[in-house]
Amino acid sequence: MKIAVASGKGGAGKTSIAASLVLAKRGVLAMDLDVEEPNLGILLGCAPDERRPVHQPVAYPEPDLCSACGRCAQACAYGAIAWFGSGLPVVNESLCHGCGVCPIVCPTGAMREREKVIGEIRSGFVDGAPFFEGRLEVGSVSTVRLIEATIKTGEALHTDDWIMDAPPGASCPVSAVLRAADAAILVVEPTPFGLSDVASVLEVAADMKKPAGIVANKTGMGDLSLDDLCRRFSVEVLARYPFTRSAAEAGARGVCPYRSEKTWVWKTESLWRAIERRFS
Amino acid sequence: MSPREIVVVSGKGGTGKTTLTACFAALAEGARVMADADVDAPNLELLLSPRETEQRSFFGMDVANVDASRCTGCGECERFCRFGAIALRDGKAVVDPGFCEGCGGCLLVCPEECISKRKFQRGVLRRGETDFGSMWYARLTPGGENSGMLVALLRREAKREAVERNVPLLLVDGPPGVGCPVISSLTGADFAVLVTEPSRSALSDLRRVITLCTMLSVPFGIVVNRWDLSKEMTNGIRAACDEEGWLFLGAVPFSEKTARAVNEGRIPVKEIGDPLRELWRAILEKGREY
Amino acid sequence: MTKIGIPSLGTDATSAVADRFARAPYFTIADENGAILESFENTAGSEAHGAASKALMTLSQKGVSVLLVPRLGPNALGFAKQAGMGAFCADGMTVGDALAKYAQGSLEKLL
Repeated sequence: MKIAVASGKGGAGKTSIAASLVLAKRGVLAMDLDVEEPNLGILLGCAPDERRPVHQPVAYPEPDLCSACGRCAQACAYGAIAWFGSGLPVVNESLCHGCGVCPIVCPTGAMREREKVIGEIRSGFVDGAPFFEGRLEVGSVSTVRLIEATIKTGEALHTDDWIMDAPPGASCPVSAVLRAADAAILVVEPTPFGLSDVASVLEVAADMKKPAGIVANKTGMGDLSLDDLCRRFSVEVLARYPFTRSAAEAGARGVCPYRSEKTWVWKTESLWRAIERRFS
Repeated sequence: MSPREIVVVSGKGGTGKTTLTACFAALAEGARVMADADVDAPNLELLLSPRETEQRSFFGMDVANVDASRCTGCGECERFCRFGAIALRDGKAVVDPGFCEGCGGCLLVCPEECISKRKFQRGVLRRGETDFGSMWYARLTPGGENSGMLVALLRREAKREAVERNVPLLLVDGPPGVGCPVISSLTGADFAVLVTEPSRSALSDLRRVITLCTMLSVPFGIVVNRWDLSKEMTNGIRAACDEEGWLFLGAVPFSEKTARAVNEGRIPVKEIGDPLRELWRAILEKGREY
Repeated sequence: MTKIGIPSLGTDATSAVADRFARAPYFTIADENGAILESFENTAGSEAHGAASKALMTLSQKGVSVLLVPRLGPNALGFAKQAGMGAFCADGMTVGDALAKYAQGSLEKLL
């Protein structure tokens, strides 16, 4: 079962819960898909050392073949190509989406593509189970592409259970993670910010017909009720983790609260049981 | 005259960007315009309570649309699409607008010429009045694309209003991460306030957003929020600022009073107190030297 | 003759230089003596993507080789460089003032 751990709001504790789920069950594949700001490795205590670059195509004109017609600049939907009436067109690589259109509109085959690095996939092991981390090159806009490449790398292994740490938000990067998942765990801080943001992700999960469950985190600080949310999306609260200063301080040191708080150990075991009950 | 544009980002989510942006909006003197550029998970409105005056649909890039009646299911479009937006279902090509990036390639490769482009609403842009000035905010349709474009549009409109009404300050609550929407919220900004917290994860994320600010030539300063959760790490961050020549703006302590105020929809200016005032003063004074 | 392109909020010398390049409402073209040759609406401004390249291509087609702008974003900068254009900084002034200061050589060089 591939389980995505998402939240909508950043800082809800997604990565802490994801890391705890990995540490609590041997043999689970861990995948960090928060490629813009990957942190799962810190909490798993694993710095994955094997690195493989990931690329995307970017266009460039082959000078000897270019007939200076300007069709590429006209066809580019992103304004990534400029042509000034004569000579070679100019491609701005940071705007180029690698869509493949300009090579097919070019009448002479001058417009080609080369591979540009967008980030890397780092891999390692946690307790003998594989761990993959997608890490976007700062300045690149190809978040979704890197997420998909990382997922593909894991799929080559066909390991049974996966925990996928998703990015914050509810847009395309999160969709890309949910698409590959069998079920989603939404980590919610029962605050107005937390509730507002998780609803967006629940909408996406519902549209994709992915089963979802809620984990309430940092409870005990004047909580809003999750009942309406659960009713609206037909989901259950599968676990509740209380806020404790000691858990926060452990997290600050880069230690997963699963390793330092007894409550986290039994709550996570209970969460796994709830996941198996609800989603199998 | 262009307003001074201050953008609040963090790298890591949940460090307190929105709370601090709301506090700055409350503390600033003189006219100001606010913008919530976290269009994926907009929360500034929960603290500033804008009274809506304007609402507009945001369309982004047109999406591909297959005329199923003429589609033969040949699969050329699916093979061409680099973004995983087309799939064959029951012998017909179906476009997922959430993944379509509007490149127009499938239109060109379809042998039946049965694909066209259509407008697709990807979000809503709003303007509202708050107790501190007008606010521009938006929401991207969940699961959708083009957040970078919506952020760019939102900043343009907020800036346009500030220029028209001669407002000297534009405060932008930025998104987490370092991707497209963050790049869109930082390009051309006058100053970035980087809100971090004293945790290993936040520090790792901070370095990445600093790299981004440097690439985009945006001067920045660092704030440590909830600093007392780890005095050790806070000192580490101060040391890193000294070593690397990063501007350290100030530190705000953690307090349950603050968290409670925010959860009750109140801007915690009083609850945070002096550290906040000192921080804002540092942003106004030191921020200008860069 | 050197043709100078200026993003502007209006169509004559008293109009303010726009605070942005690619999505300015108008472009005004003048010669090095400050005489305004033409002024036109910037249709690239409302486009979804790539306003910078489209704006520069239009100006280039009209023979513009110098830009007077408040700033050039990274995309516009790259394209302008490749097009062999020069750029100078003109911010918070009218089109007329910008042209006069350019002629005096008192504008800061951007490109």
